[in-house]
Amino acid sequence: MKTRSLVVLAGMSLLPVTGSAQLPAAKDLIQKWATAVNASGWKGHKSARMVATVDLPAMGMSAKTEAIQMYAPAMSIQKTDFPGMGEMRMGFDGKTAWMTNPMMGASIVPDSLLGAQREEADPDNYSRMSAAITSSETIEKTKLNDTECYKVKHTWKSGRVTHDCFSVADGYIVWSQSKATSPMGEVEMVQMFSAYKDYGGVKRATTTSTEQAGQQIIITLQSWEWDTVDPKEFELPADVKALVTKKP
Amino acid sequence: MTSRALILRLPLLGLLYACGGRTTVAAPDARPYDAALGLASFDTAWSRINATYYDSTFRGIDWVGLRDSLRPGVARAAQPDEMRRAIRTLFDRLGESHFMIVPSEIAQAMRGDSTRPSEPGTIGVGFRMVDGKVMVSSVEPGSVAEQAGVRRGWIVERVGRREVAPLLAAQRALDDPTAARRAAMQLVLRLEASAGTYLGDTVTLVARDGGGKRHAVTMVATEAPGQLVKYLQLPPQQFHLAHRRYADAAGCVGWVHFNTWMLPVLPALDRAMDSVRDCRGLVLDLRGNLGGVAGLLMGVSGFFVDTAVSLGTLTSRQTTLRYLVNPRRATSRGESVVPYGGRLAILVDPLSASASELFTAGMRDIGRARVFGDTTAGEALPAAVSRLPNGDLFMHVIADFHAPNGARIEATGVVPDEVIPLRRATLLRGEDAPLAAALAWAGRTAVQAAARGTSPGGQP
Repeated sequence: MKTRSLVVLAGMSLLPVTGSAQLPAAKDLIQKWATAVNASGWKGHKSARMVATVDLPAMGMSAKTEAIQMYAPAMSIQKTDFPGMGEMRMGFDGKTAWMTNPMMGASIVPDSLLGAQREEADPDNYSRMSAAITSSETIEKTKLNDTECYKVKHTWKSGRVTHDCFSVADGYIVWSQSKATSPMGEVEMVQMFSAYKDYGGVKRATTTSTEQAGQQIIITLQSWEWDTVDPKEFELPADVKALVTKKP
Repeated sequence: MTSRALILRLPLLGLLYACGGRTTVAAPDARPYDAALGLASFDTAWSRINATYYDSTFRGIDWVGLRDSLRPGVARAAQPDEMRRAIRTLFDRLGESHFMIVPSEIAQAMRGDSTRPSEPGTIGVGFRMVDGKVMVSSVEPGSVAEQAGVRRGWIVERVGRREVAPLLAAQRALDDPTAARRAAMQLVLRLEASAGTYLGDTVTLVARDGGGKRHAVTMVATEAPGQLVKYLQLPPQQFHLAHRRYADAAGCVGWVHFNTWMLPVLPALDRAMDSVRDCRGLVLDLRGNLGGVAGLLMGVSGFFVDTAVSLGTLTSRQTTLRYLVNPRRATSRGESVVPYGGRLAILVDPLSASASELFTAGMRDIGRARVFGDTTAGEALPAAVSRLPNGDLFMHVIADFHAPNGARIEATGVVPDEVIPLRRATLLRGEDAPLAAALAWAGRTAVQAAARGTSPGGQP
């Protein structure tokens, strides 16, 4: 019997369910999920705008965040404004990923990390049926508090490995496990999803609770709009423009 | 676009805070003590350390047993200080810096929530321990202290209502060198806090001059330079950056000082560097800088380093991350610039703490700077700040830090390449010996390079 993991997160226990019942195929779980949430609902739209709140309860921090994305050409920008801290922005224009924040100033994301950036920018990834995922495998039936789920391991083209756990009851993803990669290093990240609702024809988790570097981050989705993004909104901040212009 | 993408990119590391912490005073909390809330606060403090302290062995302490031994006393507590004493026992047993609890009433006063006027004030003096005595180590030009005749090298006996002798006696009684050094630092900070925290404070300084004559000088605090900065749940802090060109026949040597690692530092440094960029050498004066937002190391170092090298590693239970230099190739105004390449001297002293120490150790280890002054505080651990259920501010260590050469800075501090301790004789002459040495070094080789007809500004 293989070794199973025990993860305890913010009072929530993730326990393996013992027993050797036949596990469903990953492709069936993914198909069920993609259908349940209408993951392909983005097709037929040119752009999306998401507004959410970000809370770090232990630090007493709360911020508004807005993310916009254009599908062709692929471009994205996310802005988060923490009161007392200033605005953090990050973006991707299909070729160059950049970020700017009050602690570091502006920077260009190294080419070595662009593969993951491209994958994240692909709206098809929500379905988990995109070409960016080279293989998916169901590895165990487990339990998050009282919710049973099937844990699926995904291997991506970029080489990264992530896990989703699909609810046994309704097929929704109840938690995900991945590594956040930056030039500084990798941070293990576990996200718990709840309160799925319809946003513009696609069901999404209203609340995403993340444990990252010992901190809990709660993201609450406020709104989702299709096709309201003006291409001018992708204009680069002045300090990033200076870097991009200089980039050979 | 998924929620994952949104979370992945939040630069959490930058939220880590590291600061020695200045002290203030406030009226005692008049509210009746809520025992249940007190117990919940103790439990929360213990649990947060339990979940996030980088060393899961708790330095060999029976962490659960320690809680169990303290908790009954907290449950019986009749005053908030009894509960806080128990939390401080947790800190003491771990024996590291960056554990702090600030009572809610003090946190409110520091935030300006009380009726107390909270405009920051200053009389313009700095104190340091010199040869076991507290002395006036700096007098700001144009300050009320200078106008009142206060001079460097005076031996301080009283600041406001705070007598120095009993504080010194308590500090001298400590056997452990690390504890004694930390106590000396807190002693100086207490005295500086008593020397006019708010605009309009009346402060009497009692001190002896070089001839032994006792002076009692009463001054009214004037507006402190700089801007009030609020970061997360912390009380507002006064951020101040100053810069100067020391011109000579060969050109100039620049000097830049900032008092805390707070967010306005990057745009302020943009402006400062514009005025000293052509100088052949630069002194970055971090004396008295107690630290702040550790994430700023990456931005500030980028003003002086043109490659994304590591200034050290942060190790938490979950991960190891590097503080990478982000070369400053564009200003906040969007102008292209080149990181400063001239000689860089960093000036530190025992009140250079936390982020200042991480920065100094990192810059020296990568060969970018030479360090002058006196050994730093040795309070160098990344920490997080949160609130306890009773409203107290709670700072706790979440990671360990190692400089690029693998050394820990915590407890030992950064020993300068050129140790130049303060001496009363030089202070009384009005000299700033550490600054003079740093300026001389920062300008020296560049002068020689210029004399040889080569371009000044090579890295040391």
